[in-house]
This record gives sequence, C-alpha cells and structure tokens, in this order.
Amino acid sequence: MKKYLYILMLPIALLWTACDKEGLSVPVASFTMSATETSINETVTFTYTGTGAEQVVLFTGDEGHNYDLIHQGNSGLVLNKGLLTYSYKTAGVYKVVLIATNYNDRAEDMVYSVDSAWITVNDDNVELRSVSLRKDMYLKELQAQKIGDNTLLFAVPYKVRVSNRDIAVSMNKQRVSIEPMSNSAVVTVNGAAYNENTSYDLTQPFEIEVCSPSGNSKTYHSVVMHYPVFESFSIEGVDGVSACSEYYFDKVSITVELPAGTDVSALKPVFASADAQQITVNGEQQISGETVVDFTEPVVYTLTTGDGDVSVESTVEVSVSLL
Amino acid sequence: MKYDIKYFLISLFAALSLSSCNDFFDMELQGEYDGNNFYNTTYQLQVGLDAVYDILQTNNYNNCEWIFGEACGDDVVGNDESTTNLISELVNFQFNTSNTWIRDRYTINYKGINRANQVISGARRVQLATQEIEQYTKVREILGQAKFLRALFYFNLVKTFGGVPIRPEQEDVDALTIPRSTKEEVYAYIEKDLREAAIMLRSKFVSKEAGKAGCGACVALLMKVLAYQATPGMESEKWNEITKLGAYFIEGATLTYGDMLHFENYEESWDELRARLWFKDKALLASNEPYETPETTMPSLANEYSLEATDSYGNTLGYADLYYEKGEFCTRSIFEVVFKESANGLKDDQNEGTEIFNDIFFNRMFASKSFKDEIAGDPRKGVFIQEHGEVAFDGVRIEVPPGKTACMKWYTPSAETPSDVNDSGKNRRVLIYSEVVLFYAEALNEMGQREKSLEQLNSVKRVANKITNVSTLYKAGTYIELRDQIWKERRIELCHLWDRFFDIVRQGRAAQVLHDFATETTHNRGKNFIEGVNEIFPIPQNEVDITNGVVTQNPGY
Repeated sequence: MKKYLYILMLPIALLWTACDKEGLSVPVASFTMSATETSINETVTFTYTGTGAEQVVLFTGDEGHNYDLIHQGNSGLVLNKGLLTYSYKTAGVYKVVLIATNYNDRAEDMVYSVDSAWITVNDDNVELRSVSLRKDMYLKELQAQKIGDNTLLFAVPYKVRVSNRDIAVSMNKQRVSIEPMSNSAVVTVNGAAYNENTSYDLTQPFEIEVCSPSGNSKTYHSVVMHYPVFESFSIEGVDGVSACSEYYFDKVSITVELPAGTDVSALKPVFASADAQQITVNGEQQISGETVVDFTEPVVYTLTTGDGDVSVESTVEVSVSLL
Repeated sequence: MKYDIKYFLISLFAALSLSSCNDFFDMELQGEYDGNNFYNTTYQLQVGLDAVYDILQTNNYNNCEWIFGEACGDDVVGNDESTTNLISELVNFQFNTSNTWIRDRYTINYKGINRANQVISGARRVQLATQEIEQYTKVREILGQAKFLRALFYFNLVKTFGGVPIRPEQEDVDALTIPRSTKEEVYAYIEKDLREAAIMLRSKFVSKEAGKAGCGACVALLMKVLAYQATPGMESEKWNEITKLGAYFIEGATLTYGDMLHFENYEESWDELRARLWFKDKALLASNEPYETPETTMPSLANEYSLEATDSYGNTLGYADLYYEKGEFCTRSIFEVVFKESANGLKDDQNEGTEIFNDIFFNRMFASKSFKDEIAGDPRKGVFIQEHGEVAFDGVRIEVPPGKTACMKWYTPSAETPSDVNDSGKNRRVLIYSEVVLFYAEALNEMGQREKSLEQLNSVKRVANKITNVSTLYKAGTYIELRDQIWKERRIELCHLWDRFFDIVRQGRAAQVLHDFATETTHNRGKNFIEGVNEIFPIPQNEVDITNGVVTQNPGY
C-alpha cells in the first residue's frame, strides 16, 4: 500500500517543480503603437504583442511617466487586456518603454524584459482662437473678425456709452487680448513678445505672429475701421443731440428739438459724415440739404464705409420732437 | 415484497421526471408576463411607464447626477476630494476609463432608455376596450411621457459622453452591439422625441397627477437641449428657435403643432403621424371631438408658470419654499423627481425616499469660496447658503462641519424630517421656470435683441430682490456685458441643482473656470482639466472591451 502511495506522489512532486520553472520563463516584450507621429490630445493606442507576461507596464515617456526618471517617482501605466490608450498633452519626442514581467506565486523571484520605441508628438496649430479688445473698451468686449485666412478686422466705434455718457475710445492705446488655439504657441506682436498688459497702437500696422512648438508660424495683419457717424446733423439750423447705444457698437440715436408748430412731415436735414461713403434711408440715397424726409416717426439712416471686400455699416436713428 | 414496491415507485418517479424534462422547457408560462404579451392594455402600459420613472428615483441615477453635474463644477468643494477614491479621482480629472462612476452613469441611463423603449414599442400593441377619445388620450400621454424620459436619458448621455449608440426600440438579442452615433444624430433624436411629446401631452399635470412630465417640461428641456447645441457668440438657428419657444412659453405667443414638430421635415403623412402618436383616427372621430392638424395651436403655458411661486391652492410662497415641501409642484417648478417618505424605506428600486440630500448636505459638498464671492451681494445669499452654526429659517442650528458653508437647497427642514433618515420625501427639482427665462434671455442676446434680453434677465432678478427689498438690477450693455450678467445670474439662481459642470462646458469656458478655481483648494482641483479633452468623459472601458472596439473611445482617452 505504501508503495502505491509513493508512486502516486512522484508525479505530483514533478508537477510542482515544473510549475516553478515555467513561472519564471522570460516573457517576450514587444508592442505596437497606433502612430509613431501624432498631435497633442490625440489618442494613441499601445498594443502588447509579446507573449508569456504576467503583467505589462508601459512608460509613455512624457512628464510623470518617464522611465529614465523612475527613481524620481515617475510611474508606468498598467496595460489592461494587452491594451492602453493614452494622449500626450505637450509636444516633444518621447521614449516609450514597455516592461513585460513574470513572477512566481510568492513573488520571491521576478524576471522581465524590455522593449522601447520613439514617438513624436507635434503641436503645429498656429490658428488664433480669438483676438479682442476689452480692458480699454470699458469692459465692452470687441472681437476682431477674421477676414480671409490671415486678416483681422477691428470694426470699432468712435465712442461708447458708459454710465449715460459717450466716451471716446482711442485706437492708438489699446491692450489686446490674443488667444492662440494652442496653449503652447508663442505669440509676438510687431516682432516683440506679446504682453496682455502692453498698450498697442492699432492705427499703425499691427502684426501678430503665432509660432507653434513644432516650429511653423503664421502672421496675421490687422485692419481698423470705424463705424461711420454723423459729425454734424441739423434740421432748420437746429443741431441734433446724439447718444451712442448702450447695447450696440454700431447704433447711435440723434434727437432734434424743433420749435412748436414746425411741420415735421417734410424737412431737409443737413448732415456731414467723413467716413460714410453711402448714406441711405430704406435703401434711398440721402443728400445733405436736398432730400426731403418725413420725421413724423423716427427715421433710421444707414451709413456704410469701406470697399467691396471689407465694409462696415452703422445705423443712426433720428427722432424729431417739438418744444 | 415491501422493498419491491419501494424500488418500483422510485424508478417510476425517475422515469416520469426524465420524460417530463423535455416538455418542461417548452411549456407556456401561465399567469406570467414576458416582453411579448405585456402592454396589451392601457393599464399595463402605465405600469411600464412607472418603471421608467422609477429609474429617476434610484440612488445610482441620482448619485451619478450630483457627482458629474455638481461635484465636478466650481460651486462646491467636496469634503474628501483631496483623498484617493473613485469620486475624487473623477472630480480631479485624474481618473482612468475603468472608473466605476463613469460606467454607472452610462448604464443607469441606458437602463432608463431600455425601459422607455419597451413602453414606446409596446404601445403599438395596446388594444382599447372602447373608442372614447379619453382612451386614446390616456395611451398618448403615457407614450408622450416615455418619450420625454427617453430624451432626458439620452441628453444625460450626450452631454457626458458625446455621441453614443442609439438603441433600437425593440432590442434584438442577435444584434446587441450598436456603434456610436454622432453627437448631432443623438441631439436630433432627442429633439424629435421632445417635439412629439410636446404635442402629445397636456400643458401641465396637476393635483393627484402632479409630477408627471407635461408639455411644459418638454418645451423647457427642448430649449435647454437647443442651447447645448449652440455656441455662445456664434449665430445659429438653435438660438433663433429658443427665442421662438421662449416667446411661446413665457409671453404666450402662438405656436402651432407644425412649428413645434418642424413638420415640413417629416416623411410620414400627418395621418400616419397621428396614428403613431395615438391621436384618434379621423374616421372614428365623433362630431364633437376635435381633429388636430399641423395648424392647431399648442396649449398655453404662459399661465401655468410664473417667477413668483404660488402653490396649488393659490397661496404665494416665499423664495426659499421652492426647494422644500411647500414648493413641490408650485408654479416655479417645471419638472421634479418625486420622492415620497415611504413605508418600507428600502434602498434603490423599491425606495421612494432618498438619503442623498441628507448625505450631500451634511457630509459631502459645501459651497466653494468662489461661489460665496459670486453671491456675496445678492439678496439670495441667506437663502441659498448658510454657515456652520447659523440658525436656519426653521430654528434649527446648521450642523455642517465647522468652517463649512451649507448648500441650503439640499436642506431638509425640521417639519419635513423623515422618521427614517434615509427615507426623505424631498423632491429633486430638475427644471425650474427661471432657467427657461434665463435661456430665453441668453438666446435673445445672442440674436442681437439686447433690450428684450435685459428685460427678461431683470424679471428674474426683480423677484429675488423682494427677499431683502433691494432694487439693484442688471445694467444695459453690449453683447459681452449682457452675457456675463446672464451667466452670473444663472450661477446664482440655478446653483446647486447638480448642473453647474455641464453649464460651464456648454458655455465653452470649463477649462478657464476650473483653472481659475484650482487656486482655491490646496489640492488644486480643476488644474488637471485638459481643454479639448475633459469636456466629455470617456466611454466606459468595459463598453469598449465587450463590443471589441465597435464602440470607439473618445479622443484623448
């Protein structure tokens, strides 16, 4: 009986020893990447293609996950079912390191093998998210409009309404808020580093250059155009009082107070506008001192300036009241 | 001999039981329902709808609502968000795609969609006992509510994950893997449900039926859904439509069924649409029964809701009352998740009460410094937040931890305290009327109608001003000045309704807001938010895995 027991136990013992040896076989470390060149915030998929590993860890190579800095607290990411998806936040060339590990049950012994590859992460975005004036516009934000590929149009009012007063805004002293699409892009204005607290003269040539971390750049030119206004507006020798709109940059209202008894249905206003190339009411051309206008109800004048490509338009609402 | 009989009997039983095995699996279930024989009656359809509403009452659904909508935002600071746990990883944007809360939010909303789909597809089988028009209306209103709820669940998903799979109304076990639709397709699907539900439902359910979603809830959610598709500062047909819906909802402007549905885009005929949505067939209509056409005008909502609250008895309520039992279903509230202090007090599906308000009020989240700064000069300050140790309006000392500021919208007054603390009957306000007015104001500003926009904005403020009898109003200004003021008012008026995070994402400034907010705490919550990535969360990893990658991951994860 004892003899049989020994015979039975022998293969079991053999099995045990075999297990240990197998558990410590050296795993094969190899992996593929969905791209060797990518852009920031794009998904990269790392796939483990080796065999025989208990655990696979990947160091993506960027900040916090750099294998060479493993003793300074950098860590790897564990692959789940042989897969890892990741996105890089900053541009650069990174060394990706994969560690395939095997250890025995009690983790007394461990073997591993390593594979590595390089990945290039680009950030070549040189577009602008927005360019705006705010700090010297009494917090009334004015966005530059993009015209074509690289021209910025500042359509600006001469005056804005602040606390029931019209205040002139000067385009030769404006702090400009420039936001590039890429947070890592470097912005220069007229060849000098851009600073959000520097006042720029927008009446002079104003050039913005955006340089991406990948080295490409793009230059934007700017154009300033004022919303046209009436420098003077009078009816029967009485000057109108004008006020800018609180709500809109391109709207002004003018009130003219005429003596009681005046017939307001047929008046010939006299006006002048240096900027406006065209002045219309309901699409009809208006000529100062000649066109007869009915002021029973407020009349909206449309003033247009600019050439065929770029033009800005403003409206002036004129109302006549009797004293 | 005796033994022989015993063996005989045993073998007989064995033989019988073996032979019966085959039939046993083929037998028809008696007295049990499965998906194919339920929903034959209106009553059964109503039972199905109750099960859809039931999802809204589950702890899982509501936990996901506050974790994503509130704890990720800048109105609150969580008590344990500097430690390591799954919620704090999430709100610090240092989670991985296997985070169970991400999976839970995904699954619970699909659970709701699945139940709603069963009601919507099952409605085809309902047989009416009689042909009275009320019978049709009953089925139509059940179907309409199911559509509203399905839209709500999909809206939760699309604002959290971007485009998601649209499940077929009748699931096929051989085709369970559905690829993701685009964000635009999901929004179109949501809009269609809401537009159809809006013409199917009465303006508002009251008294015994209060709590059911009516036309008002559909239009309010539709306005929100449209705003989420539009971009501030960019002209869009969506903004334009919000102004039209706002004029209808708030000012009583006329809107027809055709306008609401955009019926001109439908491929089915009007009578096919009527049949599908359970409007009574024209041929069967009695002479005194109305025949609705695309030109029929929508029911008026302007009289149903108001910025100053009155309860169902017509009594005027205080400002804070909206958030307590007194203000349940009042004229300022549009849609609520209904909780009721119940007899069994069990959790989740069987629970009609919730411990969540109590839990987040005392233990989890407290008003942030940046929120306190925003509300500092506002008359609603004392109503919406109170410091530790202060005495609440009901005379009870606020026992939040020392140094913390309590969010009073989650408070349960002493008179409403349940006998079991985990079983509070406090309803959750999901859509309130002031949000509709503020969306209207925002859309008007976007469409260049600034004078009207300011008027709407100030209508909300004027009511709040009555709390302390002040008269500060918002000021006239250009586009950006009005928009900043509207967003400020949104932050105050709609605070702590578990929606702030999604609101700042919609406004396109989540990164900026959260990066500014990061300086407030020592663990710098918000600094890890990556613009262009974290505006939406990743698809749960197990969903990508089990579909073998057919359901693709979001960029950046």
